[in-house]
Amino acid sequence: MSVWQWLNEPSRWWGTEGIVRRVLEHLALAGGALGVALVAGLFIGWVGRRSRHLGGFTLLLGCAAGASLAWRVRDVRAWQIALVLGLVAASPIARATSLGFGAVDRSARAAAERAGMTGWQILARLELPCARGRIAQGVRAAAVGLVGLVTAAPAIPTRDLIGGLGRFVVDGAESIRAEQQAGVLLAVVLGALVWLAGWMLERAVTPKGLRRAERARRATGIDHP
Amino acid sequence: MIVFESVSKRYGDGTLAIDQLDLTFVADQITALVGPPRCGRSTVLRLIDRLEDPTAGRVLLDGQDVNRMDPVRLRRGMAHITNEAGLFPHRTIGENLAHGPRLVGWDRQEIATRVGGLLEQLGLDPFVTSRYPHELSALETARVALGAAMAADPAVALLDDPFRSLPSVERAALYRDLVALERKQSTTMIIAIDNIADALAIADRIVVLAVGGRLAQEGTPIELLTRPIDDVAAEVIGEHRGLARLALFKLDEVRPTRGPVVTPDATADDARAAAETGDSSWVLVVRSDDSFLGWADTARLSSSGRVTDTPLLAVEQTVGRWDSLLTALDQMVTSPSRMAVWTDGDGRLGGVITRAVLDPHLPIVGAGG
Repeated sequence: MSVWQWLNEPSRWWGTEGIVRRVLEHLALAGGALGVALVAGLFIGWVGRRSRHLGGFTLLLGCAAGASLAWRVRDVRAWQIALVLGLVAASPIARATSLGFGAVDRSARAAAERAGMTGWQILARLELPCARGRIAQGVRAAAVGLVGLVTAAPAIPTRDLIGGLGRFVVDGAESIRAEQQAGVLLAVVLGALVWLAGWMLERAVTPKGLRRAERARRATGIDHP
Repeated sequence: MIVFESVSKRYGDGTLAIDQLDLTFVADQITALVGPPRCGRSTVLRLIDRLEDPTAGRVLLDGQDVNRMDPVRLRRGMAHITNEAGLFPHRTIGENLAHGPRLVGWDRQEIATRVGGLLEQLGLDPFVTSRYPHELSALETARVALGAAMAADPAVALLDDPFRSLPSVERAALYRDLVALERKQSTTMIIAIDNIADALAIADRIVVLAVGGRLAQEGTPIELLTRPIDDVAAEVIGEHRGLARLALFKLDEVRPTRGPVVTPDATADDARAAAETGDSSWVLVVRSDDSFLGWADTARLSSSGRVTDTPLLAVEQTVGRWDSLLTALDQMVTSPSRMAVWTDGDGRLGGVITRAVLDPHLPIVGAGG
């Protein structure tokens, strides 16, 4: 049986173990983990926005989180998996956040201070609007990575049953290679769709003036004075 | 009014930027801070809006110690412009101009009127409001930064050599706009400035600082040009002080006399008598309606005959009432007659400018005044 034949069977799409159900489970788990990654990544990125060791720190954090799974092996809950995956995915968000804040025009920040803006006003009206395009880039990278990681989650021995597209890969066993291949294929397609959604998010949150400036910079190769 | 009471500022790295400085900045005046590099010009400005706090002494704004005031509220009543425009890159020019007034709570209608007024005063096309900062030229950027800082009618404007990277012609135009803004809003304006010629042209009062933030001299531009108090002041104010001083007097206030002028039917003797009142053997020949015929050299006239017997030399250049004595002097030294011609608006003779006209305005070093 080929992958296409497997996918062409409508009964495989609907029902409690159908593809649609698995996609929703996949997105729920990845979404939960992304929520954790956002909280952790934004916080770490903001706190460490002037530190050079931030990247290493977040990678270590993800590493430690992953290792903690092995420690509690066979006794893991679904939410714990979401938490760990979230901490692993926090790294690109933290990095993008600190880069985004670091790239805010220094002269504009100095002028804002001279004009009598408070720290919060500078954050809300200048730094966040200028940084959020780059932060969205990090969120996009984290989200796509999570879609991939969540595919492997059902392979972890857990107390709860972990759903998602990975079930097809894990349950497919040797006998039904088409099911495994279909699971992988669907995960890749889902990842591509999330990639696209992330691109649209990035575009939506980047202010028009900055998008135009970036385009001009690329075209001419020079920064505006 | 802003008063510095024996203010000192030592930075964390040990640099003494300001040393026991006593200064008074009078309201509704433009004061220029000049001096060699590292004389503490920028620090003086930064002490006023509390970007720095003094290590000793007090800075008083209308009698109140600024160090007891909330820095945010203090800065909202002041404009502080530097060489870096600092426009918000994600906002349009219109939004950048509206930002200051919005911060202090103006309503929408007031802001719109103000932005329109600023565009006109600064000579900016209304369509720039929808553009972004990166799409402007350096000159437009400087104009917008000036407008944005002055938009909320600040009582005090601190300018830290904001136009220093612009060509001198553009700089002069911007300083003219700046003076016009100051006159309109009656702002206390303090401007740290590197180019002494710019300072002399726009300032009501000049403060000369020496390296290490000591006061070298303060006074009006004319006072400074007449008597620099020491070598530091003399060096800052520069060479050719006598000439620079002439640039500060406009012909409008000088009102030259008529000088060696004759009509075309004047005899050679009349012309020679008229030349006595001038600086050379030349006389200016004008018709009865005061339009020019040209210069005549009485040395080349025969004893009898008329002034028009010799070929007349056309009047090539003239000065008007808004020109300075320096411009007049320049024309005097390039004219064969060694005199300059002053015209009123419609090209008729106002008078001939001779050495005698300049004399009262030439400083005599060591003679006082």
